[in-house]
Amino acid sequence: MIEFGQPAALWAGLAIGLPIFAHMAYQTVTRKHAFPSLRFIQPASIPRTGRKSPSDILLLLLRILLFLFITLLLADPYWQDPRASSSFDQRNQTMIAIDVSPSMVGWNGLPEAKMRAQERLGYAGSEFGLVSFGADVLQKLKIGTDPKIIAEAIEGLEHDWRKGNAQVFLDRLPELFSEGALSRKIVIISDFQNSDWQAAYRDLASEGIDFELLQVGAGEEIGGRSGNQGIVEAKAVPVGADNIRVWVVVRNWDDAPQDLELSLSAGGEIREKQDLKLNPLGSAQAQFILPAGDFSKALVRLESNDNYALDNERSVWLKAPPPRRFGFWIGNENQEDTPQERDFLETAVLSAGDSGWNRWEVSQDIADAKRMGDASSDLELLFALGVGDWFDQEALASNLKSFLEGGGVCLMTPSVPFSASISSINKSDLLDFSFSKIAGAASRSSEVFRIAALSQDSPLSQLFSGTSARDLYLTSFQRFGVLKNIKDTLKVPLRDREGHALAVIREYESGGRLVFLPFRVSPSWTDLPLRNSFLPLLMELVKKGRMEATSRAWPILEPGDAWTGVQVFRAERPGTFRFEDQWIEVVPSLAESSPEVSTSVEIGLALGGKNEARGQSTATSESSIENQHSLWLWFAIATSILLFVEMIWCRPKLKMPGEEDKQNA
Amino acid sequence: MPTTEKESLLDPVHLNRMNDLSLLARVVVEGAMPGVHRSLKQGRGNEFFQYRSYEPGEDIKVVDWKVFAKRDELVAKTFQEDTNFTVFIVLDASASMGYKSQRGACSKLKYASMLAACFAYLASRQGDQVGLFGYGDETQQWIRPATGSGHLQRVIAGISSLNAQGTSQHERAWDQLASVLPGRSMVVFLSDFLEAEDTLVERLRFSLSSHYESLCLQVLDPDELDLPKEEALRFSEMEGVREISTSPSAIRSDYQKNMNSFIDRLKNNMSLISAEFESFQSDQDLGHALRRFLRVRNRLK
Repeated sequence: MIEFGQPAALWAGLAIGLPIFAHMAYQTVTRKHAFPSLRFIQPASIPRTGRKSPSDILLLLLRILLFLFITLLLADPYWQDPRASSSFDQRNQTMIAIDVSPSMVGWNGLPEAKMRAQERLGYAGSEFGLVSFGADVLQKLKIGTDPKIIAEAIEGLEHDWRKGNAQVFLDRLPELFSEGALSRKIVIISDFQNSDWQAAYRDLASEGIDFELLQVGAGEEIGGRSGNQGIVEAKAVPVGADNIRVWVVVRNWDDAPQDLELSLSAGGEIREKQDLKLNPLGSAQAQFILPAGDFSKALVRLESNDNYALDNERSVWLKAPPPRRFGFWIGNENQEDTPQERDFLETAVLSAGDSGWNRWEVSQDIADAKRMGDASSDLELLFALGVGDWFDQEALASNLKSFLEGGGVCLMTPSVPFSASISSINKSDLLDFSFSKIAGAASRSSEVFRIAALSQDSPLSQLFSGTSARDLYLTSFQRFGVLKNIKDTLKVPLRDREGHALAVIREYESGGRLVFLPFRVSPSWTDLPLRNSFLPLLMELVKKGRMEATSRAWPILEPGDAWTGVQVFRAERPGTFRFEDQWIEVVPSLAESSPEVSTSVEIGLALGGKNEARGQSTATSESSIENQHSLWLWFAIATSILLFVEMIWCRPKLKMPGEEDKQNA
Repeated sequence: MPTTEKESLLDPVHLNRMNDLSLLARVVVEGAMPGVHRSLKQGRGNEFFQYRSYEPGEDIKVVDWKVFAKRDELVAKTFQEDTNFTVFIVLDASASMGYKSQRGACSKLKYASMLAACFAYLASRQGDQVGLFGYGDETQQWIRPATGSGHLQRVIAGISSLNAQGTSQHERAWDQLASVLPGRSMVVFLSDFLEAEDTLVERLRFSLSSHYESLCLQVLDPDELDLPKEEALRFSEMEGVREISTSPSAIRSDYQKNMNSFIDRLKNNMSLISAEFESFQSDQDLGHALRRFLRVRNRLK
């Protein structure tokens, strides 16, 4: 079917042609008549019947046709293959995308976004859809939805608590449009907060999607958003046996100093208020002391009328966290060193904690579950004692590997014979070294082996310094396995004076750590477990490789995070929650508190470089353009022929010589 | 009423088809109006007329001795006698004379030219000297009066070459004519005389003299008498740039009244200076005009 690239030309032609035709229709048409003298001719009103009607109808039709063809020519006609066009949706599609990440709550972002969206919805010439996005695409109304429904949905939009991630939205952008639309356009309404948009990139221009960026919330200029103060940190720690200290950090993102009031509520009442002086772009700390055991949780509130309210309060648990769990894998309990070894290690670990906030607990059931392959069980420390053939037979290597990769710490001790341990360990691909002999095993001499001086850059040298190191250096080893060919990726924190490794550590990216001791922790191998330095040495060796953000033992989540116990807890909004036997704090995303935004120009560059609606030269239309055959040339030829015919028809009549008819000059 | 063959020869519709004015004049004068003109006067003149048998007793000077030598027969040689009379034809060839309506047989100029050719032929046949003065906004033809068949052909060729163009300058043309008029002359004016009724009396005052006769023949198109039969027209002046849109049917009665008044005034003015005046329409036959010419011509005999 014939379509037009410039349909406005048709309207222009109509607008020009109609007045001309009206003028001609109502014009008093009189034929010119040459006359010898006008001396006695007087003007007179011409009756309607005297108006001349077109006598040359064919010429009139020809000229109308010529005018029509010129108009069509200017309208850039082309032939659209109906079979191809039927498979395409020839509509202009506009998707309105509204950012509902938490930062949109501040600086009047979300109400302004709703207003701008409603304005945009009033534009004609397109079909609209709606999508809201934050950490993900949250709500979607497909293209072509009734504008009234879209308008109601816009009014009903609420902010999300999860940290925004515009990239997720951009990744799903093409699927929001239907195939073959005449033009596709996305109107993104957002505050373009830095933490949500700084890594966002998608070349929309190359994908044929036009975009328009509407920035809301305190204008476009960098630094235009300020005036926010928020709680960035709040935690409870025990103070002695009777009190708990709630420690709070408040940050000021404003350029001006602020005097604020910080309050602590517990048990439904405000327990204490403190005045805070915040320097420009600075932080301040405050602490509250509460009696331990009186309250289970507290609410810290910042009394401020700043532009972003979501970070003005924080809920904290006042209860002691659950104990950390450890357990044992033992396969050769018949060996005499094994029970002793287990007793020494259990006693040591239990004594490393206290009865309150830093408590250790033996959880052999969980250790056994791990041994059976239950990856969901929460265990922090595992002792695999006397690793030998049983380790291979039970195929525990994969279970242990998943435990380590999940952040767990395992300490392994060898069995007798020592070579069986080395063989099992090498087969499991957990550690990579070889074994040469058992030092001190061949003779029953009184020769003992001592620990070499710790290197200065060793973490142990920080722990054992001065007199405390003496006890460690007096440790004697009667026997230990001499390891060789230790791979460089493995750490050796402890050596004897001849340089033989007394501990080998493999660290995992998850923070997990595998520690192998080439001796058994029993007096028949060494007097280490009997020494004072055994406890700190042991806890230092089994310390997690990755330092956690906080030292607290209960999970602190942000909205959108998940914590896995027996079941999975998904954090949705800030607050304190009890899940199974666990206390969980969910805190607002700190990144959303930042007032820094990107400009729409920067975002435009990240989206393909053009921040304005363009014509129909989209990739989608490119496929339809292939089915368009321009008729311009044909219309030009037809117009030329008509013009030529018209010129021939209306050419001046040649006067023959001698002809005296001077009439109608 | 069916017309006779002779009358049809005077019909301008038929005559308009003849491009040769010389032939046209001969056909009209010899064919359609035999006997209306005076026969040639034989006598002593310069123009050979014919041979005839010598009558005994005649002056032997009339014998053509060359013929006697060849044929041994006395033959008298006769000559056309000069009348010493001049017919001066004044033809208006301004743009307005080019008008031709659908009702008119031909344009006014063509009609006037046909009359002029016939007049010249008649005058020449009677031995009169014939002169021609054609003008529009400037003089187009000026042929001094003379006699002879060759001169007649020159006059008719001059009439044929006139083109209707320019604005009529009657006063200048008539002043120029009056200064060269010979004695015993008959001046035939062929014009539409538009806009000339007031200046006519002064310019043609020479007609009062007994040596001159003026014959003023006004040639008008039928449309000029009662306007074209159309409801609405935009009239444009042929000798100007004015245009008037009007309804002919609405102004017809006033127009006819004014036009008749104009013709009457012309006639009155002509009578004041003893000039003959007659108004013709371009669809009228030529007979009446020719008879009028001969009557005036014979008055000066």
